[in-house]
Amino acid sequence: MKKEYHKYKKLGLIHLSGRLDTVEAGDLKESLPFYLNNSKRLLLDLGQVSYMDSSGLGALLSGLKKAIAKDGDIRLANVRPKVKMTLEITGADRLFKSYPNVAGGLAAWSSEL
Amino acid sequence: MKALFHIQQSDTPELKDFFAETHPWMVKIANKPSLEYLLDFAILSGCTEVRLVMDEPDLALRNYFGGGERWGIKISYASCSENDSLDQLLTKNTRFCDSEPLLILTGLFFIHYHKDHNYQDWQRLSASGMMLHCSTGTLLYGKTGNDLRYLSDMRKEVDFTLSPIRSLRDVYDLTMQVLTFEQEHYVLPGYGPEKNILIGRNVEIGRQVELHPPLIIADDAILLGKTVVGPNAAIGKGAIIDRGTTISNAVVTDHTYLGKGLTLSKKMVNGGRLFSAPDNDWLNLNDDLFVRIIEPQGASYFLRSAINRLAALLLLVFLLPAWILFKIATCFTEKKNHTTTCFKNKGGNLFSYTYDLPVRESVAGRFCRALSLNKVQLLVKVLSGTISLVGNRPVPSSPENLLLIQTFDHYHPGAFGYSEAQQLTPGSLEEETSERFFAANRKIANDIRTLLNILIKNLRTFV
Repeated sequence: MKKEYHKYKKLGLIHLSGRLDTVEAGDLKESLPFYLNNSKRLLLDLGQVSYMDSSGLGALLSGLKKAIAKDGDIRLANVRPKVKMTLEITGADRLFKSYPNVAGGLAAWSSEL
Repeated sequence: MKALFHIQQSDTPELKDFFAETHPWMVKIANKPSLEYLLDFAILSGCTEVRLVMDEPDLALRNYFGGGERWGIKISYASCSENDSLDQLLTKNTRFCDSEPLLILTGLFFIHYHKDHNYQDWQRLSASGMMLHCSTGTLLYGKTGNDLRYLSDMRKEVDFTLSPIRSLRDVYDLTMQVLTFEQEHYVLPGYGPEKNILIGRNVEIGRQVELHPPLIIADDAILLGKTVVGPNAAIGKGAIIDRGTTISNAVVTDHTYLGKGLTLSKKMVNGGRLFSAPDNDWLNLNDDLFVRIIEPQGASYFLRSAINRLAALLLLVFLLPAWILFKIATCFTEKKNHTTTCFKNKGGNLFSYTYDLPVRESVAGRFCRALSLNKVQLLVKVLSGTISLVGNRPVPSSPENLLLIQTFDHYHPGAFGYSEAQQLTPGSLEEETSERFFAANRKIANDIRTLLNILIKNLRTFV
């Protein structure tokens, strides 16, 4: 899984690509706390993520827990239908605020701060 | 009157991908195969003999419909080529078609009818060679088979309509339509304790389960505590819905497991595959915690499992003293010590074991392999039921290998591998072919033979 981190004012933006599955989830779970040290508010661009299973979702939820503990948040942008299905059946779509695209997400979240 | 039903599987690629090994006619609408609706309609129209013509024969379909005794009619089967025209179809089935009036249903579609209406007259009043069609099929009627070679559109108003079945969205929409508006129109499987609730035989319903009509639950389904089913839910045969899961406006097909605390709304699940109606897209999720297929575990499964564990225990008892002595004797020699993580199943679940033995090239290493002491860690995994005693060579976890095992239908790792017995090079095409062949054709006798082959072969390498 590829990860690209960018800082955008008070927000951190991570472009993810590939599959968020049992093989790759561990890596994301370990790296999210490092990104949260740089910015406690992370917007994850899932536009290039083609698949997410329970391990991938576990990594995102673990990151969200750590972000909330720091008074921050993790939000999602550009979620593809195949990934949205996993979020919907688990009810995780109610835990993560999501935006249809990255630009809109950055603008909307920045205006809240 | 006779009826001839004709289908070509190549017409339904999306259904084939999602429903995998299920014939399109066996895809269920509200827990009843789509073909059975057509059959019921043909019987209501006065047919006493039906021929099913398919380009690909299907055993499950034959087992279900048999000779038609359950419906009080005669069902026969015939094959056709992929691109047979109507003329060719009639020619190939001349004896069946020529003797009396004939109804032909060609393609995959659904007929909306009402079981209490009279369908004996519409064809008698119609001119011969009339047809009614939708985008995926046609219904034809002729007073003789020969009349069907000269067709015209049916102008007479009839008390039934056709709906196409081409996509997953069609299957989903039809199931919702039958459940919500047309449940009274058809004979559906199950009994109804309340209006719009149909429950099959041997269904287990746990504590505090809520049922909201309309819904249909097939035989042998299990609903664990606090699940909420309906409105508009179809649960397939042998499906298991785990605790606290909510299902509304959704379809769960046969032998599907749905995990704990999930919310299934406007979706259809078949085994590990998940379809979202609003997005009109589907995903092969196959996740042990969310959705997966329930593999049939009959007597042979338990027998195989018991034999596996017993044999692993015997081998461990035999090898353990040698292994302990060996560990003491080689505690100062050079060793490979690393943990290997491999795929446990097709769904991508993992298991790990530690490798802690002298290097292969040393005398100690060769001795250890001759006695199969390198398998001790894996034998412990066999005892715990994680892997088989004899199976596929465990595939190490990596993104590329995940794609490989997802297409590996019967992958089941074992402490002793099939290709190991044949001394095939790991990673070669021959190894992959052999692994796939033996996995798909597993037999206890083969497994014993493979195990003995490997044990003897290992001993010989040292001698």
